[in-house]
Amino acid sequence: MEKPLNQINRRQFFFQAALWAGLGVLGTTLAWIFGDLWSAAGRFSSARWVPVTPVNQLPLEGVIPFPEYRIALFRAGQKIGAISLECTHLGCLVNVVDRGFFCPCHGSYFGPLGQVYSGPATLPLPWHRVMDRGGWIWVHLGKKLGSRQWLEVKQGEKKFEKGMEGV
Amino acid sequence: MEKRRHFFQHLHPPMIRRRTLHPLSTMGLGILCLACFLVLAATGLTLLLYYVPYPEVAYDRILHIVTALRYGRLLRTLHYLAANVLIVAGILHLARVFWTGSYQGRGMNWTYGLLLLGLIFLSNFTGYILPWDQTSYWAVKVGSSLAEYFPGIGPSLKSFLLGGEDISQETLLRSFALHVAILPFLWGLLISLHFWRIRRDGGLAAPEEERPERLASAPWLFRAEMAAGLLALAFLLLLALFLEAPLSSRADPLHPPNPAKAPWYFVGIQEMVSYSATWGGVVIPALIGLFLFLAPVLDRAKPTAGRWFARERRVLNFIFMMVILSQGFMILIGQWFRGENWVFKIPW
Repeated sequence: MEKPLNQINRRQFFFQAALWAGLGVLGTTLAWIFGDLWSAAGRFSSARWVPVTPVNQLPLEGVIPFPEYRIALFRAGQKIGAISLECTHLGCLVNVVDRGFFCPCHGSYFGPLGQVYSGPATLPLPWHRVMDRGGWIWVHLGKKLGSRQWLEVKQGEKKFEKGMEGV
Repeated sequence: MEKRRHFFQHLHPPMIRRRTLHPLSTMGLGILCLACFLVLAATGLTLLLYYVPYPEVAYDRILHIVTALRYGRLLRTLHYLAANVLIVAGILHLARVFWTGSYQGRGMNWTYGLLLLGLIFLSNFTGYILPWDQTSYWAVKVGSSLAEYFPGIGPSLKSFLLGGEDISQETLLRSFALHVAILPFLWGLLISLHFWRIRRDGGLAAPEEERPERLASAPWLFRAEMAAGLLALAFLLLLALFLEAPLSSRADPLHPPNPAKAPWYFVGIQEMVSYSATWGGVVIPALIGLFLFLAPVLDRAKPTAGRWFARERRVLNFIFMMVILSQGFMILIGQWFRGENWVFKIPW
């Protein structure tokens, strides 16, 4: 005689437990991934994270201004940083000069890491967060940082990823 | 105990034939299609949060999704894989229904199925242009010019799809609208009709002698469908481990690649057109379409529904086999054996 469906033996119980646990793990993983994707706009909006340049096009030492993004990238060997080019006085675009940054509007002079050498500005140039994705330097333009932040990259052997040529 | 029936039980008949559950009856291909569709809906609705249908921006957004967005590469790859698997699964499902003669007496659902196949192609084609990269740009260019060969509706179909005479900003916006709004609406409609019709027609087609053996749908059919659906999901996730949705360089209207190829599912037609525009671009596709749509009318055999390759239907089965094989062969040649200026080349 067949047993009613709602009576199960121990083996069936363990099988069902494992099945539901597996489904639970799968469901949770997918929910996590999609939840992360749905909530990522604040963190990864392209208005904030912007691909600026391939790593291997930065000279090993020096400062390269990107006025279109109102930032400059530093590179000192394996360390890369992004500094804001907006003067902390009234927001003019500062120029990269020999030893630091100079604001053409009111003559504020900043040191090579953004520290104030002379006024009228009183605050140092802020920094931006930097990351390395697929051989490109991405800079977080949405938020300025009070403290310096460096990105460590491996020495110049990073290759272009497939599909990146057109950027 | 009074059992309450939930929505999915209403979607299914209360009892099914035992053979419905046999893996060889359907090979789970309909469920595979549905699973692909659900994956496409989930990933597509998520991609919709990040994509912008504007030529200056679209490519950057895709690049952004696959580089800076966590799980973004997986997201796009799953969407791409599910779309391509859906083409293959849809055609295999069509073949299963044909070779088991399951369309007999079910002309309506056969027609819905063919319309769904058309939606698969349209959705794939409109999705193809959205990344706005070099491959997709030129593939859509070639694909839309294939449409032009068709007399009468061809040119207007092309200018409807492109939103003008050539690929432009309008094309992108139009493909986007079709891809994310108009076609999904039709998808929902036709999938509902397709499922409803299976129930109306009395479940899976089956030979007369196997009709009496019956089982409750709950839980047996639900379990079988869940298992097939989970296998399909596992298959897609497994593929996503090894494959990646391609993205070439940014679309450049001034530099066509040579050869410029249509998306793989239209390369067969492109290959046929390279022999003769009239035969390859008009006559043969029209004959294939007519044959498929008229199959329930052409079929004069006594009902053999549910039996694979029934002798009574051998002529139709043979014609269908020839259609599948020849189109597969044309795609194979067009995709891998054609080099610059569409000259035959050995790929190795």
